[in-house]
Amino acid sequence: MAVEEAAARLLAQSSEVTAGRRTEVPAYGDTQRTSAPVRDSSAPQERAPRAWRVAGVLLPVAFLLVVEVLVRAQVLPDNLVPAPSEIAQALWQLGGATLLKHIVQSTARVAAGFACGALLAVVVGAAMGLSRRLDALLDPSFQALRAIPSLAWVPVLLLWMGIDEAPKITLVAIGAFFPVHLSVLSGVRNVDRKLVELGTVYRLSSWRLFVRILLPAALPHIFTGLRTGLAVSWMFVVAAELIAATRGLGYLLSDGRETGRPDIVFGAIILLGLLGKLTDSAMKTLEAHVLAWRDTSVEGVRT
Amino acid sequence: MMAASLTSTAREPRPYAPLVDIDIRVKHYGERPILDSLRLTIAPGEIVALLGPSGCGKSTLLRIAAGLDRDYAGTVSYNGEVQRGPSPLAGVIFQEPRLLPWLRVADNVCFPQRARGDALDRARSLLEEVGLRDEDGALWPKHLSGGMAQRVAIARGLFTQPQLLLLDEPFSAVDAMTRMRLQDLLLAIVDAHRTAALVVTHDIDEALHLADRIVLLEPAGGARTRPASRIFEVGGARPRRREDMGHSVLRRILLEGLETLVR
Repeated sequence: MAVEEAAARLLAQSSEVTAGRRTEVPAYGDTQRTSAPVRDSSAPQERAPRAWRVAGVLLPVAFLLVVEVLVRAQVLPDNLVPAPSEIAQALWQLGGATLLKHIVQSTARVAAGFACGALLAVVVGAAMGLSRRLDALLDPSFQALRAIPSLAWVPVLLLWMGIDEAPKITLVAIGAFFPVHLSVLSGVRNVDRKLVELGTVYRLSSWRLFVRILLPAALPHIFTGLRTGLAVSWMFVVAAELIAATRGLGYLLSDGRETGRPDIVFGAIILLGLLGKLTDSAMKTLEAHVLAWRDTSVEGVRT
Repeated sequence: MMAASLTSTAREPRPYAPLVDIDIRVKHYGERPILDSLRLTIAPGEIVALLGPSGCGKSTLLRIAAGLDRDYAGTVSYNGEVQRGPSPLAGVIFQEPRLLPWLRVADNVCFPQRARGDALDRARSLLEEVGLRDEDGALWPKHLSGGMAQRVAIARGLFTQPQLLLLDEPFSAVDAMTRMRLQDLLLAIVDAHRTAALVVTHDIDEALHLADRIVLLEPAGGARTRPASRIFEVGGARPRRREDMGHSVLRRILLEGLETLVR
Protein backbone atom coordinates (compact mmCIF):
# COMPACT_ATOMS: atom_id res chain seq x y z
CA MET A 1 0.00 0.00 0.00
CA ALA A 2 2.72 2.40 0.99
CA VAL A 3 4.48 1.85 -2.29
CA GLU A 4 1.30 2.48 -4.24
CA GLU A 5 0.64 5.67 -2.35
CA ALA A 6 4.14 6.90 -3.01
CA ALA A 7 3.79 6.09 -6.68
CA ALA A 8 0.48 7.93 -6.85
CA ARG A 9 2.00 10.95 -5.15
CA LEU A 10 4.90 10.85 -7.55
CA LEU A 11 2.55 10.70 -10.53
CA ALA A 12 0.55 13.62 -9.19
CA GLN A 13 3.70 15.62 -8.76
CA SER A 14 4.98 14.88 -12.20
CA SER A 15 1.67 15.85 -13.78
CA GLU A 16 1.84 19.10 -11.84
CA VAL A 17 5.25 19.71 -13.27
CA THR A 18 4.01 19.08 -16.80
CA ALA A 19 1.03 21.34 -16.24
CA GLY A 20 3.34 24.01 -14.89
CA ARG A 21 5.51 23.82 -17.95
CA ARG A 22 2.55 24.18 -20.21
CA THR A 23 1.26 27.34 -18.62
CA GLU A 24 3.33 29.45 -21.01
CA VAL A 25 1.19 28.03 -23.80
CA PRO A 26 -2.54 28.74 -23.64
CA ALA A 27 -4.80 25.71 -23.61
CA TYR A 28 -7.67 25.55 -26.03
CA GLY A 29 -10.67 23.34 -25.75
CA ASP A 30 -10.60 22.21 -29.32
CA THR A 31 -6.91 22.05 -29.90
CA GLN A 32 -4.29 19.69 -28.73
CA ARG A 33 -1.11 21.47 -27.86
CA THR A 34 1.22 18.79 -28.97
CA SER A 35 4.10 21.16 -29.41
CA ALA A 36 4.55 22.07 -25.77
CA PRO A 37 5.34 18.62 -24.39
CA VAL A 38 7.24 17.76 -27.53
CA ARG A 39 9.34 20.87 -27.12
CA ASP A 40 10.15 19.80 -23.58
CA SER A 41 11.33 16.40 -24.70
CA SER A 42 13.27 17.85 -27.59
CA ALA A 43 15.19 20.30 -25.43
CA PRO A 44 17.85 17.83 -24.34
CA GLN A 45 18.24 16.70 -27.94
CA GLU A 46 18.78 20.20 -29.22
CA ARG A 47 21.30 21.00 -26.54
CA ALA A 48 23.44 18.30 -25.02
CA PRO A 49 23.64 18.30 -21.23
CA ARG A 50 25.79 21.05 -19.80
CA ALA A 51 28.45 18.68 -18.48
CA TRP A 52 29.07 17.28 -21.95
CA ARG A 53 29.34 20.72 -23.49
CA VAL A 54 31.90 21.72 -20.86
CA ALA A 55 33.75 18.47 -21.54
CA GLY A 56 33.75 19.31 -25.25
CA VAL A 57 35.58 22.56 -24.52
CA LEU A 58 37.99 20.84 -22.13
CA LEU A 59 38.88 18.04 -24.55
CA PRO A 60 41.45 20.03 -26.60
CA VAL A 61 42.89 21.43 -23.35
CA ALA A 62 43.29 17.89 -22.05
CA PHE A 63 44.89 16.89 -25.34
CA LEU A 64 47.47 19.69 -25.02
CA LEU A 65 48.18 18.62 -21.44
CA VAL A 66 48.79 15.04 -22.55
CA VAL A 67 51.14 16.25 -25.29
CA GLU A 68 52.96 18.40 -22.71
CA VAL A 69 53.45 15.41 -20.41
CA LEU A 70 54.57 13.14 -23.27
CA VAL A 71 57.11 15.70 -24.52
CA ARG A 72 58.43 16.33 -21.01
CA ALA A 73 58.74 12.57 -20.48
CA GLN A 74 60.61 12.49 -23.82
CA VAL A 75 58.16 10.02 -25.33
CA LEU A 76 57.66 12.51 -28.15
CA PRO A 77 60.76 14.20 -29.63
CA ASP A 78 60.59 17.94 -28.91
CA ASN A 79 62.24 18.90 -32.21
CA LEU A 80 59.18 17.50 -34.00
CA VAL A 81 56.47 18.29 -31.49
CA PRO A 82 57.20 21.30 -29.32
CA ALA A 83 55.63 21.22 -25.88
CA PRO A 84 52.49 23.36 -25.64
CA SER A 85 54.18 25.41 -22.94
CA GLU A 86 57.02 26.16 -25.36
CA ILE A 87 54.51 27.17 -28.02
CA ALA A 88 52.85 29.53 -25.58
CA GLN A 89 56.21 30.93 -24.62
CA ALA A 90 57.19 31.47 -28.25
CA LEU A 91 53.96 33.32 -28.92
CA TRP A 92 54.48 35.34 -25.76
CA GLN A 93 57.97 36.31 -26.89
CA LEU A 94 56.59 37.57 -30.18
CA GLY A 95 54.73 40.11 -28.10
CA GLY A 96 51.04 40.93 -27.87
CA ALA A 97 51.24 43.77 -30.39
CA THR A 98 52.96 41.68 -33.06
CA LEU A 99 50.59 38.78 -32.53
CA LEU A 100 47.56 41.03 -32.63
CA LYS A 101 48.86 42.60 -35.84
CA HIS A 102 48.99 39.18 -37.52
CA ILE A 103 45.58 38.15 -36.17
CA VAL A 104 43.90 41.42 -37.17
CA GLN A 105 45.46 41.29 -40.63
CA SER A 106 44.23 37.74 -41.32
CA THR A 107 40.81 38.41 -39.82
CA ALA A 108 40.40 41.55 -41.91
CA ARG A 109 41.29 39.63 -45.08
CA VAL A 110 38.84 36.87 -44.20
CA ALA A 111 36.11 39.39 -43.39
CA ALA A 112 36.57 41.37 -46.60
CA GLY A 113 36.99 38.33 -48.84
CA PHE A 114 34.14 36.40 -47.24
CA ALA A 115 31.79 39.37 -47.46
CA CYS A 116 32.54 39.97 -51.14
CA GLY A 117 32.43 36.28 -52.08
CA ALA A 118 29.30 35.47 -50.11
CA LEU A 119 27.40 38.51 -51.37
CA LEU A 120 28.27 37.75 -54.98
CA ALA A 121 27.38 34.09 -54.40
CA VAL A 122 23.94 34.99 -53.05
CA VAL A 123 23.23 37.17 -56.08
CA VAL A 124 24.53 34.70 -58.68
CA GLY A 125 23.10 31.68 -56.86
CA ALA A 126 19.68 33.27 -56.60
CA ALA A 127 19.71 34.24 -60.27
CA MET A 128 20.66 30.70 -61.28
CA GLY A 129 18.14 29.25 -58.85
CA LEU A 130 15.35 31.31 -60.36
CA SER A 131 16.26 30.88 -64.01
CA ARG A 132 16.74 27.43 -65.46
CA ARG A 133 18.26 28.97 -68.58
CA LEU A 134 20.87 30.92 -66.65
CA ASP A 135 21.60 27.78 -64.66
CA ALA A 136 22.05 25.71 -67.80
CA LEU A 137 24.29 28.41 -69.23
CA LEU A 138 26.56 28.98 -66.23
CA ASP A 139 26.56 25.71 -64.35
CA PRO A 140 29.28 23.89 -66.35
CA SER A 141 31.66 26.84 -66.02
CA PHE A 142 31.11 27.16 -62.29
CA GLN A 143 31.59 23.43 -61.80
CA ALA A 144 34.94 23.68 -63.57
CA LEU A 145 36.02 26.79 -61.67
CA ARG A 146 35.05 25.15 -58.38
CA ALA A 147 37.36 22.24 -59.11
CA ILE A 148 40.45 24.48 -59.33
CA PRO A 149 42.56 24.17 -56.15
CA SER A 150 43.12 27.35 -54.18
CA LEU A 151 46.89 27.35 -54.66
CA ALA A 152 46.49 27.31 -58.44
CA TRP A 153 44.89 30.75 -58.26
CA VAL A 154 47.78 32.31 -56.36
CA PRO A 155 50.24 32.88 -59.25
CA VAL A 156 47.46 34.10 -61.52
CA LEU A 157 46.20 36.58 -58.95
CA LEU A 158 49.74 37.75 -58.19
CA LEU A 159 50.30 38.27 -61.90
CA TRP A 160 47.11 40.26 -62.32
CA MET A 161 46.92 42.18 -59.10
CA GLY A 162 50.44 42.44 -57.75
CA ILE A 163 51.34 41.63 -54.17
CA ASP A 164 48.94 44.02 -52.50
CA GLU A 165 45.84 43.20 -50.48
CA ALA A 166 43.74 42.80 -53.63
CA PRO A 167 44.93 39.32 -54.68
CA LYS A 168 44.63 37.97 -51.13
CA ILE A 169 41.11 39.25 -50.62
CA THR A 170 40.16 38.00 -54.08
CA LEU A 171 41.49 34.54 -53.26
CA VAL A 172 39.45 34.42 -50.06
CA ALA A 173 36.41 35.63 -51.98
CA ILE A 174 36.87 32.84 -54.53
CA GLY A 175 37.04 30.34 -51.68
CA ALA A 176 33.92 31.67 -49.97
CA PHE A 177 31.98 31.98 -53.21
CA PHE A 178 31.48 28.35 -54.16
CA PRO A 179 30.01 26.81 -51.00
CA VAL A 180 27.65 29.75 -50.59
CA HIS A 181 26.74 29.72 -54.26
CA LEU A 182 25.88 26.03 -54.12
CA SER A 183 23.80 26.42 -50.97
CA VAL A 184 21.80 29.35 -52.33
CA LEU A 185 21.17 27.47 -55.56
CA SER A 186 19.95 24.31 -53.86
CA GLY A 187 18.08 26.34 -51.22
CA VAL A 188 16.08 28.26 -53.80
CA ARG A 189 15.52 25.09 -55.83
CA ASN A 190 14.22 23.08 -52.91
CA VAL A 191 11.61 25.51 -51.65
CA ASP A 192 8.36 23.68 -50.95
CA ARG A 193 6.19 23.93 -54.07
CA LYS A 194 3.18 24.48 -51.81
CA LEU A 195 4.67 27.65 -50.39
CA VAL A 196 5.44 28.93 -53.87
CA GLU A 197 1.81 28.23 -54.76
CA LEU A 198 0.79 30.51 -51.91
CA GLY A 199 2.64 33.27 -53.73
CA THR A 200 0.62 32.44 -56.85
CA VAL A 201 -2.65 32.63 -54.91
CA TYR A 202 -1.78 36.12 -53.70
CA ARG A 203 -0.47 37.06 -57.15
CA LEU A 204 2.98 38.12 -56.00
CA SER A 205 5.33 39.53 -58.63
CA SER A 206 8.47 37.47 -59.23
CA TRP A 207 10.57 39.89 -57.21
CA ARG A 208 8.21 39.79 -54.25
CA LEU A 209 7.91 36.04 -54.56
CA PHE A 210 11.68 35.86 -54.26
CA VAL A 211 11.97 38.25 -51.33
CA ARG A 212 8.95 37.07 -49.39
CA ILE A 213 8.95 33.31 -50.01
CA LEU A 214 11.97 31.89 -51.84
CA LEU A 215 14.72 33.70 -49.96
CA PRO A 216 13.40 33.15 -46.42
CA ALA A 217 12.58 29.54 -47.24
CA ALA A 218 16.11 29.03 -48.52
CA LEU A 219 17.74 30.61 -45.47
CA PRO A 220 18.44 27.37 -43.56
CA HIS A 221 20.31 26.05 -46.62
CA ILE A 222 22.08 29.35 -47.11
CA PHE A 223 23.35 29.45 -43.54
CA THR A 224 24.89 26.02 -43.94
CA GLY A 225 26.69 27.35 -47.02
CA LEU A 226 27.77 30.50 -45.19
CA ARG A 227 29.36 28.47 -42.42
CA THR A 228 31.17 26.23 -44.90
CA GLY A 229 32.23 29.32 -46.84
CA LEU A 230 33.64 30.91 -43.71
CA ALA A 231 35.69 27.81 -42.92
CA VAL A 232 37.01 27.72 -46.48
CA SER A 233 37.86 31.43 -46.19
CA TRP A 234 40.26 30.66 -43.36
CA MET A 235 41.86 27.96 -45.47
CA PHE A 236 42.26 30.28 -48.43
CA VAL A 237 43.63 33.19 -46.40
CA VAL A 238 46.51 30.98 -45.28
CA ALA A 239 47.12 29.96 -48.88
CA ALA A 240 47.22 33.64 -49.81
CA GLU A 241 49.53 34.58 -46.97
CA LEU A 242 51.97 31.71 -47.44
CA ILE A 243 53.21 33.52 -50.51
CA ALA A 244 54.02 37.19 -50.77
CA ALA A 245 52.85 38.48 -47.45
CA THR A 246 54.57 40.28 -44.60
CA ARG A 247 51.74 39.98 -42.11
CA GLY A 248 49.06 37.55 -41.13
CA LEU A 249 48.95 34.12 -39.57
CA GLY A 250 49.85 32.44 -42.86
CA TYR A 251 52.96 34.58 -42.99
CA LEU A 252 53.74 33.67 -39.38
CA LEU A 253 53.40 30.02 -40.35
CA SER A 254 55.73 30.19 -43.34
CA ASP A 255 58.15 32.42 -41.44
CA GLY A 256 58.29 29.84 -38.64
CA ARG A 257 58.96 27.12 -41.17
CA GLU A 258 61.73 29.07 -42.91
CA THR A 259 63.47 30.01 -39.67
CA GLY A 260 63.20 26.49 -38.27
CA ARG A 261 60.83 27.36 -35.46
CA PRO A 262 58.25 24.55 -35.08
CA ASP A 263 56.94 26.26 -31.95
CA ILE A 264 55.91 29.27 -34.06
CA VAL A 265 54.40 27.01 -36.74
CA PHE A 266 52.31 25.17 -34.16
CA GLY A 267 51.41 28.45 -32.49
CA ALA A 268 50.06 29.80 -35.78
CA ILE A 269 48.15 26.58 -36.35
CA ILE A 270 46.55 26.74 -32.93
CA LEU A 271 45.62 30.39 -33.44
CA LEU A 272 44.04 29.57 -36.81
CA GLY A 273 42.02 26.83 -35.17
CA LEU A 274 40.87 29.17 -32.43
CA LEU A 275 39.93 31.96 -34.82
CA GLY A 276 38.08 29.55 -37.11
CA LYS A 277 36.15 28.19 -34.17
CA LEU A 278 35.33 31.67 -32.87
CA THR A 279 34.06 32.99 -36.19
CA ASP A 280 32.04 29.83 -36.74
CA SER A 281 30.47 30.22 -33.29
CA ALA A 282 29.59 33.80 -34.16
CA MET A 283 27.96 32.61 -37.39
CA LYS A 284 26.13 29.88 -35.50
CA THR A 285 24.77 32.42 -33.01
CA LEU A 286 23.59 34.61 -35.88
CA GLU A 287 21.99 31.57 -37.49
CA ALA A 288 20.15 30.59 -34.32
CA HIS A 289 18.90 34.16 -34.04
CA VAL A 290 17.79 34.55 -37.65
CA LEU A 291 16.31 31.04 -37.87
CA ALA A 292 14.48 31.13 -34.54
CA TRP A 293 11.33 30.20 -36.45
CA ARG A 294 12.76 26.92 -37.66
CA ASP A 295 10.94 23.80 -36.61
CA THR A 296 13.45 21.27 -35.36
CA SER A 297 13.34 17.73 -36.66
CA VAL A 298 11.99 16.50 -33.35
CA GLU A 299 9.08 18.90 -33.46
CA GLY A 300 8.56 18.18 -37.11
CA VAL A 301 7.38 14.63 -36.52
CA ARG A 302 4.29 15.63 -34.59
CA THR A 303 1.02 14.80 -36.25
CA MET B 1 -30.01 5.31 -58.54
CA MET B 2 -33.59 6.17 -59.40
CA ALA B 3 -34.18 7.62 -55.97
CA ALA B 4 -31.48 10.16 -56.67
CA SER B 5 -33.44 11.78 -59.43
CA LEU B 6 -36.19 12.61 -56.96
CA THR B 7 -33.97 14.99 -55.05
CA SER B 8 -31.40 15.95 -57.62
CA THR B 9 -32.34 18.91 -59.73
CA ALA B 10 -31.63 19.14 -63.39
CA ARG B 11 -28.93 21.57 -64.39
CA GLU B 12 -30.77 24.71 -65.35
CA PRO B 13 -29.87 28.39 -65.44
CA ARG B 14 -30.36 29.93 -62.05
CA PRO B 15 -32.47 33.06 -61.73
CA TYR B 16 -29.65 35.11 -60.15
CA ALA B 17 -26.30 36.13 -61.52
CA PRO B 18 -23.76 33.64 -60.26
CA LEU B 19 -20.72 34.86 -58.36
CA VAL B 20 -18.62 32.24 -60.05
CA ASP B 21 -19.35 30.12 -63.08
CA ILE B 22 -17.08 27.17 -63.65
CA ASP B 23 -17.57 25.62 -67.06
CA ILE B 24 -15.12 22.86 -67.87
CA ARG B 25 -15.26 21.12 -71.21
CA VAL B 26 -12.42 18.79 -70.43
CA LYS B 27 -9.44 18.54 -68.13
CA HIS B 28 -6.79 15.91 -68.76
CA TYR B 29 -4.40 14.45 -66.28
CA GLY B 30 -1.72 13.24 -68.61
CA GLU B 31 -3.63 11.22 -71.19
CA ARG B 32 -6.55 10.49 -68.91
CA PRO B 33 -9.55 12.84 -68.83
CA ILE B 34 -10.30 13.64 -65.21
CA LEU B 35 -13.09 16.20 -65.60
CA ASP B 36 -15.40 16.62 -68.55
CA SER B 37 -18.53 18.56 -69.45
CA LEU B 38 -18.97 19.95 -66.00
CA ARG B 39 -20.67 23.16 -65.07
CA LEU B 40 -20.89 24.55 -61.60
CA THR B 41 -22.20 27.93 -60.57
CA ILE B 42 -22.10 29.40 -57.11
CA ALA B 43 -24.35 32.23 -56.02
CA PRO B 44 -23.24 34.97 -53.61
CA GLY B 45 -23.40 33.74 -50.04
CA GLU B 46 -23.98 30.14 -51.05
CA ILE B 47 -22.06 27.19 -49.66
CA VAL B 48 -21.48 24.38 -52.12
CA ALA B 49 -19.87 21.11 -51.14
CA LEU B 50 -18.00 19.03 -53.70
CA LEU B 51 -18.33 15.38 -52.79
CA GLY B 52 -16.85 12.43 -54.59
CA PRO B 53 -14.60 9.41 -54.29
CA SER B 54 -10.88 10.05 -54.21
CA GLY B 55 -9.37 10.59 -57.63
CA CYS B 56 -12.58 11.92 -59.13
CA GLY B 57 -11.09 15.38 -59.63
CA LYS B 58 -12.61 17.31 -56.71
CA SER B 59 -9.37 19.01 -55.79
CA THR B 60 -8.53 19.59 -59.44
CA LEU B 61 -11.84 21.37 -59.89
CA LEU B 62 -11.09 23.55 -56.88
CA ARG B 63 -7.61 24.34 -58.17
CA ILE B 64 -9.11 25.36 -61.49
CA ALA B 65 -11.57 27.63 -59.69
CA ALA B 66 -8.66 29.10 -57.71
CA GLY B 67 -6.72 29.78 -60.90
CA LEU B 68 -3.87 27.51 -59.80
CA ASP B 69 -4.47 25.08 -62.64
CA ARG B 70 -4.79 26.72 -66.05
CA ASP B 71 -4.30 23.65 -68.17
CA TYR B 72 -7.88 22.82 -69.11
CA ALA B 73 -10.44 23.51 -71.80
CA GLY B 74 -13.24 25.71 -70.55
CA THR B 75 -13.77 28.93 -68.66
CA VAL B 76 -14.01 30.18 -65.11
CA SER B 77 -15.89 33.45 -64.69
CA TYR B 78 -16.13 35.63 -61.63
CA ASN B 79 -19.09 38.02 -61.74
CA GLY B 80 -19.44 37.34 -65.43
CA GLU B 81 -15.81 38.05 -66.31
CA VAL B 82 -13.62 35.25 -67.54
CA GLN B 83 -10.72 34.76 -65.16
CA ARG B 84 -7.46 33.04 -66.01
CA GLY B 85 -5.24 32.70 -63.00
CA PRO B 86 -6.01 33.50 -59.37
CA SER B 87 -8.88 35.87 -58.77
CA PRO B 88 -8.69 38.61 -56.15
CA LEU B 89 -12.29 37.71 -55.32
CA ALA B 90 -11.34 34.26 -54.07
CA GLY B 91 -9.60 33.24 -50.88
CA VAL B 92 -8.02 29.80 -50.80
CA ILE B 93 -7.71 27.56 -47.75
CA PHE B 94 -5.73 24.40 -48.31
CA GLN B 95 -5.89 21.02 -46.68
CA GLU B 96 -2.78 21.85 -44.67
CA PRO B 97 -2.49 25.32 -43.15
CA ARG B 98 0.48 26.33 -45.32
CA LEU B 99 1.61 28.99 -42.90
CA LEU B 100 4.99 30.51 -43.65
CA PRO B 101 7.16 29.23 -40.81
CA TRP B 102 9.38 32.33 -40.75
CA LEU B 103 6.50 34.71 -40.13
CA ARG B 104 4.79 35.08 -36.80
CA VAL B 105 1.11 34.22 -36.70
CA ALA B 106 -0.16 37.80 -37.13
CA ASP B 107 2.29 38.41 -40.00
CA ASN B 108 1.07 35.23 -41.65
CA VAL B 109 -2.49 36.53 -41.56
CA CYS B 110 -1.55 39.75 -43.32
CA PHE B 111 0.87 37.99 -45.66
CA PRO B 112 -1.20 39.10 -48.69
CA GLN B 113 -0.21 42.64 -47.75
CA ARG B 114 2.79 44.15 -46.06
CA ALA B 115 2.64 43.85 -42.28
CA ARG B 116 2.11 47.48 -41.39
CA GLY B 117 -0.07 49.21 -38.82
CA ASP B 118 -3.50 48.94 -40.43
CA ALA B 119 -2.87 45.50 -41.86
CA LEU B 120 -1.67 44.22 -38.49
CA ASP B 121 -4.74 45.63 -36.77
CA ARG B 122 -6.96 43.86 -39.27
CA ALA B 123 -4.96 40.67 -38.80
CA ARG B 124 -5.46 40.87 -35.05
CA SER B 125 -9.21 41.34 -35.34
CA LEU B 126 -9.39 38.41 -37.78
CA LEU B 127 -7.41 36.27 -35.36
CA GLU B 128 -9.86 37.16 -32.64
CA GLU B 129 -12.71 36.26 -34.95
CA VAL B 130 -11.32 32.79 -35.63
CA GLY B 131 -10.92 32.23 -31.92
CA LEU B 132 -7.29 33.00 -31.20
CA ARG B 133 -6.05 35.26 -28.47
CA ASP B 134 -4.21 38.49 -29.11
CA GLU B 135 -0.91 37.17 -27.77
CA ASP B 136 -1.13 34.17 -30.11
CA GLY B 137 -0.37 36.60 -32.92
CA ALA B 138 3.24 36.77 -31.71
CA LEU B 139 3.78 32.98 -31.81
CA TRP B 140 5.75 31.16 -34.47
CA PRO B 141 3.65 28.74 -36.53
CA LYS B 142 5.67 25.81 -35.14
CA HIS B 143 4.07 26.43 -31.77
CA LEU B 144 0.52 26.00 -33.06
CA SER B 145 -1.53 22.85 -32.94
CA GLY B 146 -3.09 21.63 -36.18
CA GLY B 147 -6.47 23.13 -35.32
CA MET B 148 -5.04 26.50 -34.37
CA ALA B 149 -2.87 26.60 -37.49
CA GLN B 150 -5.93 25.96 -39.65
CA ARG B 151 -7.75 28.79 -37.85
CA VAL B 152 -4.85 31.07 -38.76
CA ALA B 153 -5.10 29.86 -42.36
CA ILE B 154 -8.80 30.75 -42.36
CA ALA B 155 -7.98 34.21 -41.00
CA ARG B 156 -5.42 34.65 -43.78
CA GLY B 157 -7.97 33.49 -46.35
CA LEU B 158 -10.33 36.20 -45.13
CA PHE B 159 -7.72 38.94 -45.11
CA THR B 160 -8.26 40.00 -48.71
CA GLN B 161 -12.03 40.21 -48.09
CA PRO B 162 -12.87 37.58 -50.70
CA GLN B 163 -16.38 37.01 -51.99
CA LEU B 164 -15.70 33.30 -52.33
CA LEU B 165 -13.76 30.97 -50.09
CA LEU B 166 -12.28 27.92 -51.77
CA LEU B 167 -11.57 25.18 -49.27
CA ASP B 168 -9.75 21.99 -50.22
CA GLU B 169 -10.60 19.33 -47.62
CA PRO B 170 -9.83 21.96 -45.01
CA PHE B 171 -10.62 19.94 -41.90
CA SER B 172 -9.52 16.46 -42.93
CA ALA B 173 -6.23 16.63 -41.05
CA VAL B 174 -7.63 17.48 -37.62
CA ASP B 175 -9.32 15.33 -35.00
CA ALA B 176 -13.09 14.87 -34.98
CA MET B 177 -13.79 17.32 -32.16
CA THR B 178 -11.68 20.07 -33.71
CA ARG B 179 -13.27 19.37 -37.07
CA MET B 180 -16.77 20.06 -35.71
CA ARG B 181 -15.65 23.30 -34.10
CA LEU B 182 -13.92 24.41 -37.27
CA GLN B 183 -17.00 23.57 -39.34
CA ASP B 184 -19.12 25.76 -37.08
CA LEU B 185 -16.47 28.48 -37.26
CA LEU B 186 -16.63 28.33 -41.05
CA LEU B 187 -20.42 28.69 -41.01
CA ALA B 188 -20.21 31.68 -38.67
CA ILE B 189 -17.56 33.29 -40.83
CA VAL B 190 -19.43 32.77 -44.09
CA ASP B 191 -22.43 34.47 -42.50
CA ALA B 192 -20.48 37.32 -40.93
CA HIS B 193 -18.47 38.11 -44.06
CA ARG B 194 -21.25 37.33 -46.52
CA THR B 195 -18.94 35.19 -48.59
CA ALA B 196 -19.78 32.17 -50.65
CA ALA B 197 -17.80 28.98 -50.20
CA LEU B 198 -16.85 25.96 -52.24
CA VAL B 199 -15.82 23.13 -49.94
CA VAL B 200 -14.16 20.01 -51.26
CA THR B 201 -14.77 17.12 -48.92
CA HIS B 202 -15.07 13.35 -48.82
CA ASP B 203 -17.13 13.47 -45.65
CA ILE B 204 -20.88 13.18 -46.30
CA ASP B 205 -21.78 14.52 -42.87
CA GLU B 206 -19.54 17.53 -43.33
CA ALA B 207 -21.20 18.22 -46.69
CA LEU B 208 -24.66 17.87 -45.17
CA HIS B 209 -23.83 20.13 -42.25
CA LEU B 210 -22.20 22.90 -44.24
CA ALA B 211 -23.68 23.01 -47.70
CA ASP B 212 -26.70 24.55 -49.34
CA ARG B 213 -25.98 22.36 -52.32
CA ILE B 214 -23.97 19.21 -52.63
CA VAL B 215 -22.35 18.36 -55.91
CA LEU B 216 -21.62 14.67 -56.29
CA LEU B 217 -18.76 14.41 -58.75
CA GLU B 218 -18.28 11.34 -60.87
CA PRO B 219 -14.99 10.21 -62.32
CA ALA B 220 -14.70 11.19 -65.97
CA GLY B 221 -14.06 8.91 -68.93
CA GLY B 222 -15.27 5.43 -69.68
CA ALA B 223 -18.63 4.60 -71.15
CA ARG B 224 -20.54 6.96 -68.93
CA THR B 225 -24.14 7.59 -69.70
CA ARG B 226 -24.88 9.78 -66.71
CA PRO B 227 -23.88 13.46 -66.44
CA ALA B 228 -20.53 14.24 -64.84
CA SER B 229 -22.10 15.51 -61.67
CA ARG B 230 -25.35 15.35 -59.81
CA ILE B 231 -26.51 18.23 -57.66
CA PHE B 232 -28.45 17.79 -54.48
CA GLU B 233 -30.20 20.62 -52.70
CA VAL B 234 -29.85 20.35 -48.97
CA GLY B 235 -32.97 21.55 -47.25
CA GLY B 236 -33.11 23.67 -44.13
CA ALA B 237 -31.53 26.97 -43.30
CA ARG B 238 -28.11 27.24 -41.71
CA PRO B 239 -26.97 26.81 -39.04
CA ARG B 240 -28.25 23.28 -38.80
CA ARG B 241 -28.27 21.12 -35.75
CA ARG B 242 -25.91 18.19 -35.97
CA GLU B 243 -28.42 15.83 -34.39
CA ASP B 244 -30.92 16.72 -37.12
CA MET B 245 -32.09 13.45 -38.62
CA GLY B 246 -33.95 15.16 -41.43
CA HIS B 247 -31.02 14.58 -43.74
CA SER B 248 -30.97 10.85 -43.27
CA VAL B 249 -32.68 10.19 -46.59
CA LEU B 250 -30.27 12.44 -48.43
CA ARG B 251 -27.36 10.92 -46.53
CA ARG B 252 -28.41 7.46 -47.67
CA ILE B 253 -28.77 8.58 -51.27
CA LEU B 254 -25.37 10.23 -51.21
CA LEU B 255 -23.82 7.18 -49.65
CA GLU B 256 -25.34 4.92 -52.27
CA GLY B 257 -24.23 7.33 -54.96
CA LEU B 258 -20.67 7.31 -53.66
CA GLU B 259 -20.66 3.53 -53.44
CA THR B 260 -21.76 3.08 -57.04
CA LEU B 261 -19.05 5.50 -58.11
CA VAL B 262 -16.33 3.71 -56.25
CA ARG B 263 -17.34 0.38 -57.72
